[in-house]
Amino acid sequence: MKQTKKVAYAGVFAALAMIFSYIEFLLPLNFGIPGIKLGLANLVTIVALYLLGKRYALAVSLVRILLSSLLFGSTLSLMYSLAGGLLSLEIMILLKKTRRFSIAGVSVAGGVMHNIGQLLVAMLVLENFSIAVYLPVLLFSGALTGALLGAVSIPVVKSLKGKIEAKGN
Amino acid sequence: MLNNRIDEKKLKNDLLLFAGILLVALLAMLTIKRYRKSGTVCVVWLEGKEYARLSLLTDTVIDIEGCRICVKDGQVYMEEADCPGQDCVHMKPVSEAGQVIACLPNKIVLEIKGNNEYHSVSYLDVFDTVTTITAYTADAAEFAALSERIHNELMEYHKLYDIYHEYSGLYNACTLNREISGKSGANGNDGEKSADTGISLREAKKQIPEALYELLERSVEFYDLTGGRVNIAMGPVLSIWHEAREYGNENPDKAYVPRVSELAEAGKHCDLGNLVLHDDCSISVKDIMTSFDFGAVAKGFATEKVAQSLEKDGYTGILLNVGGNIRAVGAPPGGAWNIGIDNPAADTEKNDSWLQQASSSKATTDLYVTVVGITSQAVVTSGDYQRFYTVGDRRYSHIIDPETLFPADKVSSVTIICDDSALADALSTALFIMAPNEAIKFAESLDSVEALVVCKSGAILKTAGFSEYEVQGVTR
Repeated sequence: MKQTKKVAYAGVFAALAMIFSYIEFLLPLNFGIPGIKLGLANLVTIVALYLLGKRYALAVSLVRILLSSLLFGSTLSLMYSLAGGLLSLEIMILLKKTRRFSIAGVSVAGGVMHNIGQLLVAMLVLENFSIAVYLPVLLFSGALTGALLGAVSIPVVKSLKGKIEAKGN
Repeated sequence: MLNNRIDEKKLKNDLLLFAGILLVALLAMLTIKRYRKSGTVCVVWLEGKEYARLSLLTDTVIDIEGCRICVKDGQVYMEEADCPGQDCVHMKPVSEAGQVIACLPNKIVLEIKGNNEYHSVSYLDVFDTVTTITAYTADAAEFAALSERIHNELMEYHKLYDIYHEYSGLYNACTLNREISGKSGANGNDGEKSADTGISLREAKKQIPEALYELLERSVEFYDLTGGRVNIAMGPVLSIWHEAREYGNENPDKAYVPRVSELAEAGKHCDLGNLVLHDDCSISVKDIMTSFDFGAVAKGFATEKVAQSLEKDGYTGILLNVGGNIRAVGAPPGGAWNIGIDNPAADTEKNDSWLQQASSSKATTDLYVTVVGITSQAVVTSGDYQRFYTVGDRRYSHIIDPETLFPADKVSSVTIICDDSALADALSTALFIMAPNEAIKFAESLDSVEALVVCKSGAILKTAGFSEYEVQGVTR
């Protein structure tokens, strides 16, 4: 794919990711730790990773995190999103490289790391180790959301891949 | 074709990964649940530093930095907060150790802590004996505050019932004894006003501190209950033996046994009937030669008062050991406090305490006669090897039989278990003065009292219900 095309798609993905982020912001979910999120925007990150490669996935992620925090988040949510987003992207890149997992598996790992990242930030912010008791809940929900997002992204990636390639350079 | 096989393998790996994560989550949850204990205190952290401690036992409301924290019915929750997310307010109330509510914008964390840290401290200045306080608290800071409170309360009683020293500004037992004898009444002008104190105890009434009056009241009860064996008016006789014992311990070669005539003369002034209790914490004393000695009851009484004040404030998981007077205030996390009753025949060095907290490593058969488990009871042992002195080859212990005016010699040790430490203290003295069978029979006649007697021969007698307290195979 030509560079400009990639950039164009990246832009679209970034905008999409922000919408997902916003939707998540509207949902009153509670995991017990204030500020912990589901990570719906990760869906876009995964798709970007498999369609555009890791550099563009990182760019899309960062843009989404920064802008959405500015628009409807806070410094706190920025920290959470950064930690969760970057850690999850990193693990997804690593697992994708091994070629041993499908998109779903990679997404599961991403979801889990997303939550672990957020937990670590929470512990730092509160300077308190005791919230580690929420680890089981976060592991489980991270894996679950990861699996669901992964399941959704498999057909998405398949169909988009076809369409993107079909259009030619 | 090839793609399908690769895909299948990938899918298998996916499932393994998913299952693995779930397993880790499950294990983490089980470990956390296993150590989950109900909380006793809520620590409020502000910006990483401890700001306050709220006991879960008392309902409170505090406002910090825009957050309103509520403690109600043993649960903690955030009533209001000024943070935009309101996540902390939406959280369900917490009450178990380890649970947390956090308000990130305000940097406030409410952490529930339970009682699971073991702490112990000993003091040497209470009732001239070793006092050990053991408790399970949330942390060391809580234990320090708790033990200080207990120590201070015990010291109050120590000073009040001290018959050897007076303390400025405090009317205590020593003051009472002094006033009874009337300082300037040396010529035998009994009933005359003492120049120093300006009161007369013979005719008129004297109001004394409530806690001292209460002790006198209970002591009269004990006197009646034990047929006169527990007698706080034995001061005149006891002081003769006290002197002989002190002298005998300092000069073992010149140790002497007090003269019978001297004891008999002193014995004439040991009638507890000379003490008259009036309303309003007032007393009068008919015999000017009366002198009180609270050795048989003071420790137990003070221990019981302190224990009750702790219970009233909702404390649990504490074990008080005041020179062998043991009183449990609530059970420890393990379920019960294991108390080992020393074997008189064992060749161990004895301090004042016949009762030790049984550790799991000691072999129980030789060191202890038995081990009992208590949760809120009092255990007291009286033994003849506690305080004594030797003349020739004969031992003279410190518990004096009011009838013979000589040290009681019928048993080796007596252990009492009941709910009231003061009663246990008194009964252990009383039973020690009786013959073994008589002692057991007497204990059986009382409600909710269990006793164990170690005879001189080494034989052990117990009341019927005693074995219910015994713990089998303590080497856990």
